[in-house]
Formats: sequence, C-alpha cells, structure tokens
Amino acid sequence: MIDAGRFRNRFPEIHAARRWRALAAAAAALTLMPIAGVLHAQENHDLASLSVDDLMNVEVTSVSRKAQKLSDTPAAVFVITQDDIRRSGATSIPEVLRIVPGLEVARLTGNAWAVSARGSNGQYANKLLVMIDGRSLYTPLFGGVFWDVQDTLLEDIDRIEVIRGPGGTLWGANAVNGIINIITKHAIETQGTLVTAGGGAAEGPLGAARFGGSLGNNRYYRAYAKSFGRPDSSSGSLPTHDALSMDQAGFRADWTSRGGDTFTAQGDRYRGAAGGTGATVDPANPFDSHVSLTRLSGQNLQFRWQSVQSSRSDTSLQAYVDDTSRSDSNMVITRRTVDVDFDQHLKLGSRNDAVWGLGYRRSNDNAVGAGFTLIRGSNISGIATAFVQDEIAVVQRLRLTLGTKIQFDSVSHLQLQPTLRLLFKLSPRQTMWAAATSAVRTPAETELYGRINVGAFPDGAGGTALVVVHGNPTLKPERVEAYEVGYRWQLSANTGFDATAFHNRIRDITGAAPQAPSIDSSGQLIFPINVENFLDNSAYGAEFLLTNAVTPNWNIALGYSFLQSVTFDDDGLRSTVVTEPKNQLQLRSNMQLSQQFALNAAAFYAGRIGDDVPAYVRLDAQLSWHPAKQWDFSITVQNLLHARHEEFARTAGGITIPRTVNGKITWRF
Amino acid sequence: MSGRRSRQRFRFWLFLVLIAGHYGQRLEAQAAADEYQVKAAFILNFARFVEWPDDALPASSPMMIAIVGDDPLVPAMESVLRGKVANGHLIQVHHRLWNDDLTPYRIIFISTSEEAHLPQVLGKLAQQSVLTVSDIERFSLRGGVIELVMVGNRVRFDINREPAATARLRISSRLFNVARAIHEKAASR
Repeated sequence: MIDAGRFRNRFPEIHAARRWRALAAAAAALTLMPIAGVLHAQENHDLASLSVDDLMNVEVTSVSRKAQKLSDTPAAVFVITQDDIRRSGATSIPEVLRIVPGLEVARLTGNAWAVSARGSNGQYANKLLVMIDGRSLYTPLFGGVFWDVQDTLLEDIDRIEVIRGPGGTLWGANAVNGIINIITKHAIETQGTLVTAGGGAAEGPLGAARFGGSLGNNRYYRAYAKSFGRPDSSSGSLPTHDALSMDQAGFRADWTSRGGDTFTAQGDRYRGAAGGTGATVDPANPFDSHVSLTRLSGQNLQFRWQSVQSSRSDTSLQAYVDDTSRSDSNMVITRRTVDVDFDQHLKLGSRNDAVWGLGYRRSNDNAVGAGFTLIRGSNISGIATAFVQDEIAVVQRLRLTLGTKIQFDSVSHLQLQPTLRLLFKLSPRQTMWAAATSAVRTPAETELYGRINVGAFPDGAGGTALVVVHGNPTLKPERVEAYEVGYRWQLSANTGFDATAFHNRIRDITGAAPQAPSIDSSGQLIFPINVENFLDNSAYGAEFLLTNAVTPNWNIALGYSFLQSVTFDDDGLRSTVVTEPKNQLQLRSNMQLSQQFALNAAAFYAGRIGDDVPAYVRLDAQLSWHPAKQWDFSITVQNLLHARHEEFARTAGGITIPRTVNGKITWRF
Repeated sequence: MSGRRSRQRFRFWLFLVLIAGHYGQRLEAQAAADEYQVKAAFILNFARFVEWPDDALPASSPMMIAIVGDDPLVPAMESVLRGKVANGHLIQVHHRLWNDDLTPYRIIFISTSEEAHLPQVLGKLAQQSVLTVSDIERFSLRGGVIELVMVGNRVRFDINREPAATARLRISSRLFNVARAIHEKAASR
C-alpha cells in the first residue's frame, strides 16, 4: 500500500496534559494506522447504500487525506508507527527505536542493548523510563531496562511514543532523559489469524501466531504465541556466549459496556535463556569467568477501566501485577511488582484542561547470589505518588501547562517533579514551544544496599584480592533541571520540519568512589568502592527531523542530533567517560516500487564514542513483496556495508555486531 | 541447548500449531475503504435518522450540508453525498470556512483542521437547528452532537444528547442503539 501520509503525519495530536494511558482508547482517532495488506476502496455508491450497522464493519485505510495538523504537544515527541516497525525489518524492540532522531541506541551483544536519550547511555541506562501500555519496564534493582525480555508480537504494536526530555510530572521517577511508551493495538484491530515465520544468518529463528476473535456486543480478544532466537554472534573460533532464546505467549481483551465504559485486560508470559558472562565474582572461584546461561521468565497481568462521567470529566483506573525472574549460575533475582493508578481528566471553566492522579506501586524482590548480597531491612518497597497538571488556554494561540508530581518513598522521602510548558501557535503551520522541567531518578537497590564483588586479582602473596562495590543507603536521588525549546513547521502538505534544543543539568549523580584497600575480619584483602552522589552532568544539544514525501510512492526522512555532555566531580574534575556519540545522522527512505514491491532503507551514522568506539555507518535495507492480500514476504539485511562493527564500549567482551540477513513470511487469514 | 530444552521447544511449536489449527476459521473478507468516504456514508445515515423541526427543514427543501475546514477531504465526502436523498430532501454539499455564514446548513461537518476554531464555530451555531458532526477528539464532550471515532480501523460514533436537544433534533433510537457512547448533560450516572 502506498501511504504518503506516514511521514507527514509524524506528530499526531497528543495532548501532553493527559497521560498516554488515558489516550489509549482514543488512539486510533489520533493516528489511523494503515494496516499491512490493505484492500481497494469500494465504489462510492456502495458506501452510500450501506446501513449504519453495515458501515460499522467497513475498514478504512487511508490517512492521506486526514488533516495534516501539527502536534499541539509542548514536548519533543516522536511516534513510531506500525508501518515504521514493519518497514524497519527489526526483530526486537530496541532495534526499532533506532529510527528516533536524538535517541542513542547501541547493540552490545546478541541479547543486550544500550538505549538512552540525551546522554548517560549504558547497558543499564538508568535515566530513561520505558513502558508497555502504561506498565513500567524499568527495574529498580539495577536501574534500567533488561531489553532481552521486553518483547511482544511486533505486528500487534500500534505505535511507540518516544518523548525526549524529562516527563516526571506525569510519569514519575526515572523519566529523567526521556520516556518510551509502547502501545499495543486494540483487540478489534487484530481480528483474524496471523502466522509468521522467519530466520536467516545471525538472526532468528522466529515463529509466531496470533488469533483474534469477537464475542459479540463490542467484546474483542486476541491471543498470541511467539518463539524467537538469535545465535551467538561469534567471530572466528572464540565463542561469544550472547545467544538468546525466548518463548512468549499472551492475550488482550477489550470491551465496551452499554454505558460507554471501556475495559481492557491483557497479560503475557515468557520463558527463555540468554547467554552471557556473569557480572559478579564468586569469592570461592574468583578467576572463573563463569560463562553462564541466564534463565529468564516472567508474567504480567493488567486491567484498565476508562469511563466518561460527563462532558467535563473522564477517569481511568489501571492495575497490574508483574513478575520477573532472572537466574544464572551465580545469582537469582526475582521480583513482583503490584501497581495501581487512578487519574481523572477535568475541564474547569472554559480555559482549563486539568488532569490529576494517584498511584501506588509495591515491589517485593529477592536477589541472592555468590558475590552478591543486598543488605537491607526489608525486601518490600513502596512508592506513593500524586500528580496534578493544568493546561490553560491563556489566549487562543498560547497555552500554558503547569503541574507537579509529588512522590513519596522511604528512601528518597518527598520529591517534587514540577513542569512548566508553553505552546505558541505562530500560524496554522508553525508551532513553537518551550519547557522548564525537573525530574528525579531514585537510587537503584544495588546502589543503596548492594555488596557486589565485581572483580578479583592475585594479591601477590598467594591469595586473592577482591574489588567490592559497597552500596550506600544514604544516597540522594539524582535530579535533572531541563530547559527545552522546540519549533515545528509544516512547510507544505509533503514536507515537515521539527527542531528541538535543550540544556540539561543533572545533579547528585551517583558514581563509584574507590577507597583505600582494607583487610576484612576473615583476612581477605578488599579494594572497596563506595557509591556516592558526587557527580554533576551538564549537557546541551539539538535534534532535527525533516520529512518529505518526494512522490506519493517515496518518502524520505532526514534526522540529525547533536549532544555535548560533560560530567564533573565535586572537585571540578572532568570525567573522561563518554557514553554516547556527539553527532548522529540518519537518512531513511521508503519506496513503493510497484503495487507488490517495496524497498525500504535506512542509513545511520554514529560518531565515535570517546576513544572507545570508532564512528560507524550502518546501512539496513528491506525488500518486501506483497503478492496477495494474505501474504507478505520480506528480506532484511542489517549492516549491509560491513561484515562486523562495534556500537558500544568494549566492556561487552569485544563482541562486534555482525551483518544479519533475515527472511520473513507473513500469512494473514 | 539441552535435550530438555528441545522438548520444551517442541511443546511450544505444538501449541502454535494447535492455536493456528483450532481457531483458524476463515473470517469474512471485510471491505476496506477511504476513511472520509466512510465518514460521509455515516453522515448520510445521520441525515436519514435525525429529524429536524419543520421550520428549520421545510418539506421538500434541500438538505444543506457544509464541510468546514480542510480542502482535501471535501471531494471524497462530496463524492459519497452529492445527489443523495434523505427523507425526501435532496442533499447538497458545500465547502465552507469556519468564519463563513453557516446558517443555511442543517448538517455541519467540522474538520480536525478547525479544532482551534471549535468554540467559535459551535458558538455561532448555538441558536441553530443543526446537526454538528466531527472527528475532532472529544468533540461530543465539547458541545458537538455526534463525534466520529476511529476504533481500530473502523468508524464508531458518540452522541451527546444535550446539544442535540438544544438544536431541537430528534435522533432515532436506531442511532442510539449502535452508538459507542451516549453522553448526557448530567454528570451523575
């Protein structure tokens, strides 16, 4: 299908004043997603003769005529559509995220990624909040996201909304540098059966099936199962132990009551294994690098109720339970999170559009292992939050958004995360916005309570010296102050431009402070490392995106981002650690060659990361063939230009990212 | 991978096959069409299932429909509506801007491009017997009568009784029966 609107419609009408989850029901109204393998428009006289009941069953396909309205969001928003996901040929969520200008995405191994926005990247990049349908994927143990277990049927993702910059007011802690919210489709959009199979060189095998059905009376459901693997990305004779193997199944049900309330229930369950080398040192076998298979499992169940009380009030109630477990030969980590959130959207007077909410999250975890302990009073932690935000139409062209989150937990106590945003419509085609926000990252449990053996070496006297990280229960949360300005210009129906500039100041960043060696009670020589709030980061940068429909069959997007980030310690010494490239450039091209064939390509340039990782150019390309309504075939090549390249620091064990070739068959009926 | 793991994998594939086989009934092929043509077809049905007072729509007078805003969707909507008849009224479709005179129109479709002018447009129409329709988000909660909503890739609609009553419109129960949501003025429910 030819979809000229996809780049131009980059900024759907998202009101930042509301939480994404409240928007989920209205999602389709905002961006009508084109479904792969669409049919032809019916003759008009047919449509005119249809009754209301018949019209209800007509699927609509085209967004090309939809009003090309610029976003009214005073934030740096980028939306990845299902079409983008399909055309990327990506097999995992972090790979999909590469197309967001200003996001730093680097693959470390076959099963680990570093993803962040505006700096502070790393395998456990701890300043980016990631959610799926409003369920947090951020792990409070290490601080960060285990990308290896974050998956769903990619075909069932409606869109991925990415906000660069702090979003703590609405979303709570750890949304310091950005928020990624993965939103899955309403069950009504996944009716019928879909079967996919794929595999190739250094990628796959992939097999998945999904069935969607209806129980009548506006009740819809789907169930899916998926199996995915990726082999070792070994180079030469040295095994890299970075394979991944995952089995996952899940469901989603959506229904609408007679009164118009909408309900969603959804859940997933997964089990798998990821190769890797352990992060801890077993004092009993200090020099065993213990190549290990990490067993992964988890399950979640979520429920959402949205209700409209009147023309001035609507509410949303959501609850979920999420279990995760990771275990390798040295360590077992399990966690259960229970979360309840309520929010209400209110219109007050003629100028105020307000939203407020309450939330509580309780987490119970166990983490035990050789060379790894948590020294703390309780395995249970709770966070209570409340937020209020008001969008005020000062005059017709100028909107002011004010709000704050209030968060309470036993470690960080009371924390405020305020926001102030302004949106000014210069003309129907041009929008400017500015924002001043503050957000916090709460210390991870390992930073607070951990005793972690991270290294060992011979002490020169026949024994072993251990390097031990000591957690610090008096850590303060890290706090960011961010200032942003943005400008969007819809030059014509075919061309859009978006620019953002920002300055961030993050204070009280935790760092590792090596201490003088000591000998413990058992005579063991120890090199302790303390965790302390002694770093400050100052970053500024800019992000640009230009989209153009060259012809109705050919869309291109050009993105560029610049980031200058410096970290100082308390003594004013500048850190030499660099975690992300200064310059990133990308060019994407989606070309419909004929009714059946499409050629999609994306080139990514990432500048060098300090002196550690050289700059690289990565070219990914996909050829897809759509011979009939039910069938799609595609071949995707990633890293077309190089057999291997490196994307992140060599701490990943010298693993380089190989070229992958991946074929995929999709059958819908 | 160990033998145990292979067996797990086999069970998993068996599960996949079962899912595909057991539930794999063929669904009816459903037609797909242009979004705004479908929305126009809904408007045609609204014209047929809404009654206007005689003073607003005298018998055998034409049914004037205005599309306010965006040019590009006008031809699609017009192609569906032009020359059709609703309850004995010949339909005429005009493209108008938000600040044009809208008094002759009994149905006014407001494009999402006019969201910024929504209060003005609805304010102008407050004393008129007019059915307002739009796909602007939350239109039916912002003073509009019928809001077209995309649910997945299908069109649904919400009705608000209060502005319908103010505009002296009688909406057939047939529309209420299939509406996704019906809003009342009162907050209690």
